[in-house]
Amino acid sequence: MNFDELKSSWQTQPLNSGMEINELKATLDNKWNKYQQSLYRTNICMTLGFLAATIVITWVFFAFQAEFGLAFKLSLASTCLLMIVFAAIAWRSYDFKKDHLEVASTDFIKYQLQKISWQRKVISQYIWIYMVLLWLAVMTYMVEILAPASATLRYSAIGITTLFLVIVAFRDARKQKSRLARLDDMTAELEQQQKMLISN
Amino acid sequence: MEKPDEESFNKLIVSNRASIYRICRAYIYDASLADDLYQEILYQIWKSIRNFKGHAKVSTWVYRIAVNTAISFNLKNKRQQHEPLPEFFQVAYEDTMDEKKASEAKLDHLRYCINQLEPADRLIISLVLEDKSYKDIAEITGSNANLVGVKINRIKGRLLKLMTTKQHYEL
Repeated sequence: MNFDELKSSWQTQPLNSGMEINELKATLDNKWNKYQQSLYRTNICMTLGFLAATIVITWVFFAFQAEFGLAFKLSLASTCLLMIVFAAIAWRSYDFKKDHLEVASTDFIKYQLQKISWQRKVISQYIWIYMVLLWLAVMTYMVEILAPASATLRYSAIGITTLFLVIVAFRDARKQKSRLARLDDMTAELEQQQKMLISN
Repeated sequence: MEKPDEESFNKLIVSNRASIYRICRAYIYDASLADDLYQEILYQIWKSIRNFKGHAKVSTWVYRIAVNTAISFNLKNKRQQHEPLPEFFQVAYEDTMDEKKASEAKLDHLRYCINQLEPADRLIISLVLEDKSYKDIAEITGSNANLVGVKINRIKGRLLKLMTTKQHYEL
């Protein structure tokens, strides 16, 4: 048996994709429409969400700034910062959705590795920055709003909200472990493929 | 976003369909998953066709999309993949087996042995089996053009060894 025999045998194999060309075109059209709709929805939702939040925060600031002090302003500033962090993460992640498939495989793998590294950072670091900012925004707001209320009510509200955020963070941390393991697995495989393509 | 040019897509698919399908069968042993990969590649070509700038040959562009989609598909579907016994283990060899069955068994044997190679080697050998030149393979995969020949010879040797070893085992 030699390699040329294998090659000619390989090239004579029938195309057996189980799908006719017309059926295939219909599938592609369908997939294409779904892709466009999802792209449109994502962009519209994100834009509308930020717009609505900005309008509400601006209104709250001007309507109540005379009644409340520094903590109130700090909470609004934290919320704005939170939105900026969230927008930066969302747009960066959105940018990574565009796969550049027409480049050489080694460059494609390099890009995929950057994408995974970004996902890793989002899961392991940025989500915690987001949680701390969220906590800070909620706490300063509550401290200011509940200032006239009794100490029991104030500390109970702060305690319950903090507990809720801790539970959310704890639940995320549990999921995080398996997601990180999967990302590490993918990184190892891509690095191995890249090494094999580059070396002889 | 504008809909892709259907005519250009048809031309591309008519001339490259069989090669793309064979690349899928080389990269993924499981026929139904290979079928999914085949459709995913056609979809990616459909999506990218308007962005083709003509910097590379059309065939290089198509093969790059095919190979990169295969790499990406493999990562996403790794958990679903398993290594089934090749069909030649499942179908008993009989004297009555007709030529078509024998030929399919031989092909399946080849697919099974290709599947035993490392993923990067599978991609390279699938391009070699499509008669791509060393220069084209280096351009598609991004490998060093001076080293690609050595690499291909190593993979060919490993594949032929696997074919022989597995055949002995089969008998």
